[in-house]
Amino acid sequence: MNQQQFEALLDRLGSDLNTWPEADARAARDLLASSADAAAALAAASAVARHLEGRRQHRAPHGLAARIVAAAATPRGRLGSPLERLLEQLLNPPWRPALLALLPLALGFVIGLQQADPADQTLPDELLTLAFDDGLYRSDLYLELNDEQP
Amino acid sequence: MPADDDGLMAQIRQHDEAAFAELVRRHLDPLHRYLFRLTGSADDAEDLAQETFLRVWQRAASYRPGVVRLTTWLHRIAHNMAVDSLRRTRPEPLADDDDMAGLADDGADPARAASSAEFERHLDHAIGILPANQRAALLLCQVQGFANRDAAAIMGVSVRGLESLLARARRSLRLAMAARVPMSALERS
Repeated sequence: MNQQQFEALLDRLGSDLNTWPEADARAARDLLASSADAAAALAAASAVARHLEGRRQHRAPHGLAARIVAAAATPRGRLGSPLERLLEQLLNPPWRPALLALLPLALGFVIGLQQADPADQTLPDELLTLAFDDGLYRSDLYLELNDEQP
Repeated sequence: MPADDDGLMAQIRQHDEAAFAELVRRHLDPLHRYLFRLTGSADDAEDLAQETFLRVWQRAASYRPGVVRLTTWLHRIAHNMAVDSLRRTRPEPLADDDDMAGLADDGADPARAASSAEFERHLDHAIGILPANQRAALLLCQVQGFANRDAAAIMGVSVRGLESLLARARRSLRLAMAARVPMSALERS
């Protein structure tokens, strides 16, 4: 094992050689016996790990627990925002199975929209013609209703 | 006899405020520690811890006992909210090996025994400039004490992805702190 391999394993497996695979740990100990660089790398990794583990003693700010419990008792704390409530209801039983059952229908609708033949769609010219016809009809109707001759 | 976490969650689903208070009492310290170390802000950590527990209160029905441990579920909610918050409020720090080597070279004298407080201060700084995902992986595994599999579930990454993040974080910190390791540690190794 060389220095580079040792450092790669040190970063991947951590600084406790007892948790390494037996063959790797043995090769690492051989290297450590003869290499100051390897020993320095292990010392740095061990010091970092030890200081990180030392941070497990931590207290949340005084009064925070009471504030959280009090916030939960308010209407918003109990229920969340209206949108959150709606989503929560829809994503949980009994609505979730119903939504899942509707999923293929929605999927079919989307696919149908995407595959619609453009030739089937009403052309702008047709719309224009319809608009004129409608206007004529309405004009006739107006004259008729008012007993006027066209 | 006090209920276990799953028992508390069953009571919370029935809107039992006393059970909720007990849940907060049990889990607030470690959750706040994670959020504080991840965001680097006491104010953000308080807000996010409160939002996390309120979400648990409101969405207790979505907890699946037996599928995931409660502490893993809590951390996953907290982690997602913290990542959203970090994304909104500040750009990702761009730390690479050069930054970390710069930290190691800024006047530290390896021949002198570094004090524990000084080591802590520099370690905090080095952790603070890690990319957020590396920082999260490191904190979850080495401070919060999660197994790699649980940490990966909390972060929503594969175990291999988690291990890669963890190795990169360890390497960065090891390089940054190499010149500041207390002599006592060198003698022990």
